[in-house]
Amino acid sequence: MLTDVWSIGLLSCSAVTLFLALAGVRTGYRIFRYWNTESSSELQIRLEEEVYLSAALVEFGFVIQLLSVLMLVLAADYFSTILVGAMCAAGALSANPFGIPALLVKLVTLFLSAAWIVCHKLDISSEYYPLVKRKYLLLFCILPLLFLDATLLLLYLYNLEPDIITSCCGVLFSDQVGDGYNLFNVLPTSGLLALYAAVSLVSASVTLQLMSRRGSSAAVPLTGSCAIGLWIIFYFFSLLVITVHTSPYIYAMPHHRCPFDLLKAPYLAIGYPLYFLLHGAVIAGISCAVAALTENQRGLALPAARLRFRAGCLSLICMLFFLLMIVYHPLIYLLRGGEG
Amino acid sequence: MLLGNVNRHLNILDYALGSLWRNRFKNCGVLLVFSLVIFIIASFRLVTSSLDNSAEQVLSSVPDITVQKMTAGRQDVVQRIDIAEIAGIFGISEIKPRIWGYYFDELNGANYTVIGDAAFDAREQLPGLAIDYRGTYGERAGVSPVVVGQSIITSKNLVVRNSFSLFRPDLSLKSFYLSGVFAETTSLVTSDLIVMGIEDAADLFGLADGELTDIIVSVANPTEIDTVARKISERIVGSRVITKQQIRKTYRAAFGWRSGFGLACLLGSIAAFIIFAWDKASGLSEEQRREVAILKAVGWQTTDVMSVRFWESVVISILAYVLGYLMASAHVLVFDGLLLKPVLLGWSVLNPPLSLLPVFHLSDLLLIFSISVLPYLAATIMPAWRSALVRPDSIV
Amino acid sequence: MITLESVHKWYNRGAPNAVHALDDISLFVQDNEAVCIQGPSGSGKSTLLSIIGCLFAPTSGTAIIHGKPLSRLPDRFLTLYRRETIGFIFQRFHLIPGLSVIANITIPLLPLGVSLSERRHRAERLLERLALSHRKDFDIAHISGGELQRAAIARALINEPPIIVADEPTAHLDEQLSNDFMSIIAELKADGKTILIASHDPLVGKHVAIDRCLSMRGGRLTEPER
Repeated sequence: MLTDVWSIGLLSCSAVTLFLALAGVRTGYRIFRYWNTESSSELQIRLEEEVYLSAALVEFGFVIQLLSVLMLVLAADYFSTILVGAMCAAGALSANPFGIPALLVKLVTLFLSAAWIVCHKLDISSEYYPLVKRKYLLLFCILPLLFLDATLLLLYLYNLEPDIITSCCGVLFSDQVGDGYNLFNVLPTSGLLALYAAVSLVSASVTLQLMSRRGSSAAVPLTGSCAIGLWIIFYFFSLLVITVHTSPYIYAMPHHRCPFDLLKAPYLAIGYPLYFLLHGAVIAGISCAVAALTENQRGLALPAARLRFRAGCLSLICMLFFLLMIVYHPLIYLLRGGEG
Repeated sequence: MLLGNVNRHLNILDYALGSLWRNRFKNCGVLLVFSLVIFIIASFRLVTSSLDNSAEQVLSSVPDITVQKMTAGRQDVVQRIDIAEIAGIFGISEIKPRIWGYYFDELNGANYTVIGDAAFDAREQLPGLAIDYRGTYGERAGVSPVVVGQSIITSKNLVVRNSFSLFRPDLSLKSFYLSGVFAETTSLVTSDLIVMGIEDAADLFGLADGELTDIIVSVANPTEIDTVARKISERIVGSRVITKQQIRKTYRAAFGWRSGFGLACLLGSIAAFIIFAWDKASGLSEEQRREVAILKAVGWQTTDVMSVRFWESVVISILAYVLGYLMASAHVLVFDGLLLKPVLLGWSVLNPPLSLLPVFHLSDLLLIFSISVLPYLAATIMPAWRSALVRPDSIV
Repeated sequence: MITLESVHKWYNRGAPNAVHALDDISLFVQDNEAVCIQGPSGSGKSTLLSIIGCLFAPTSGTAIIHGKPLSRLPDRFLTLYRRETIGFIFQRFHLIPGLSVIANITIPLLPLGVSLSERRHRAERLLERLALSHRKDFDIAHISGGELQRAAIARALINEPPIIVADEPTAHLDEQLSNDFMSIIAELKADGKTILIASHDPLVGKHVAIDRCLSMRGGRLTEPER
């Protein structure tokens, strides 16, 4: 289905992102190789100017990746109307082994790009550009992931056949034992929710600790790294909880467990504010941790402290509203006398 | 801090708008070409969505399940006695025999689709499809009633007369009279269609008694269609069982393929436009260089100048997008997709007269945005950066 | 205050067309001092003013402007510092054609995120002080030479910088307008601003507002003949 309009749109976005990333990496290589803060040579001046170019390329690439994630979900929803057996986007993404990995890699590059942008903003706030080489190392790590993203996407679209029988979300995310598609039923729901609550609480606590700089500064690298890990775990757990627990209440169908149909009009497109808050919380949380980790770099004390506090506040506020949204529908259902 | 950033961008946007206006003749060219590119892409999508929509409306009357027989990979006749094989399947609400074939009219080189329906009765209107019902006016012995599509009225010269004849396989003539005409709104699938009684169809095609081309099955619960279809395929050996959903998906895949193929052919023009945009954005006049140097000398940073160029590109692309989409809407709504209908409806002696009603989806807007505006903006990043590199001391 | 020590500036260093524009410049300017730098064309006056005006950093040596060492400052921070500290008046004024007087004056405020109302308020205050209010909405192509000069001064003052740098400000003006310009400079000095003017116009060097005159030749500073 490579000639389908959606396929062309998605591949076009991938191509543009790759082009931007390659241009950014070319600039990054020169900066990585020749950068010398102490020098005021023409080359150094030129490299300082190229920092702006690479930043603009990565920032725009981030915007395209964001749109690309949304487009992949919308495209999958459209493909579900052509693929036999797929009831929704989840079924379409599962039509071959490349769909879900393509989406996951896109999400990973999204978060890494956000981290790069945060690093960049911190880096240019100091006269000494203390993070310049590290941030371009990060960019070098993002590039192969973008290639992987484009490859997986191409393979996914190429291997889509309109007459292939696929699983639909009702089968994929069901709680029936032994049907071969129980990807998400490794834990009972109550255990999952308890674990999720614990992860949320720990993520929030660690972020609060980073914001207030409690504890010794020697512990900051460990705390900061833990915070990043926790936010990523929180993200994937949130997707799990939305799919397995919250979405059936929103759809008012116990076996309709799909994280993508929430974006549709019949459900008031509740998915948009929900995922906006989730991604906002995670990106802000990671930004807070990055700021804490880099605060001891030359010239970054004040700007990193400012970012650490603001990003931390934003992450906690987004997290709070997100959690309120995901408990709202089950809670209303229970309060109205529904069975648990 | 956020408010300060927002204000900064608003100020820069304000400046960018002024800059665009000051260079309006140069920017007009880019705007017009870009609008044209988006017009073509949007037209493709709107025509496709309107065809899809028309097909969707018409396909609502397609049977839940159609059962056919295959022998040596080719369609064969179904025996009426096969109906008894499947009558006991739970969930089936109705089973009807049907004859569906193609009649080649040598006189004008057209293929007609002939459907023989067991429920066909000229004394009452066929349910489900819009029909201009004419009743039994032409009824007489040896002349059978039919309902025909719009193109057949023209090809068999039925504007002034009410009856016509077709050849049986043994070259004897079979006569028909018009008891109804399919409405134009259903032309997509009824244009070349002739519906008659099942016995008349069997007679026309020379089928033996009890021979059919299809068995039509209705299922009470739509969610059970696939299950019933699977059971039918198990009970009738060598059968091909097609569901309504499969037909719908096939139409959608076909239109999607055509639309995508057309778009793929357009990619060359999009790429050419991107190169044109890059070239236009890269050229800096002496006056523009001086302006950038002044801005930087009075305290603008490289990123501020880049923002001006970026906002200029955003304004041009958004304007072009809106303009292109409006033109595409007018093209489809007012001019009936004149430029693209032949590509998407294909070649036929009997082209259906069809009015297109485009359906606007937010997802389509995003899709067109992604293949037009995003590449354009990406192409202007490097020229914007280059233009911002002018040194402030160059004016001292 | 402004402190330059052993400042050198090379253009295209190492290349056949290398130019040693500033050769071992040491200069100290007090706060609220008005200094005139005189010298023939090509003596390095503009280069010196560009370094003091934070348009670029020196190749070597120390440049401290208002307490900030600029020698190794990246361009981004130079710009940030320049927008807060320096008001530059160019030889040919360099206002942007197609924009009105008030729009030109408020250009330095745009990237700072200053709101429209605040921008207009600040600009109108300056326009009134410089007797230019009646021309505020005129395109700069439709105002006189003297009005252009005052508009350029207003733009240099909009950010309320402590240091004013002017490069040959009276080069294209008649005697009357040159005197008007120096009167404004005297007012700015009275306001507490530090002023550096590069000019070979004797009217500027001999004006009562000027505290000190320096000469430049071949990229080197010499003491004045006053």
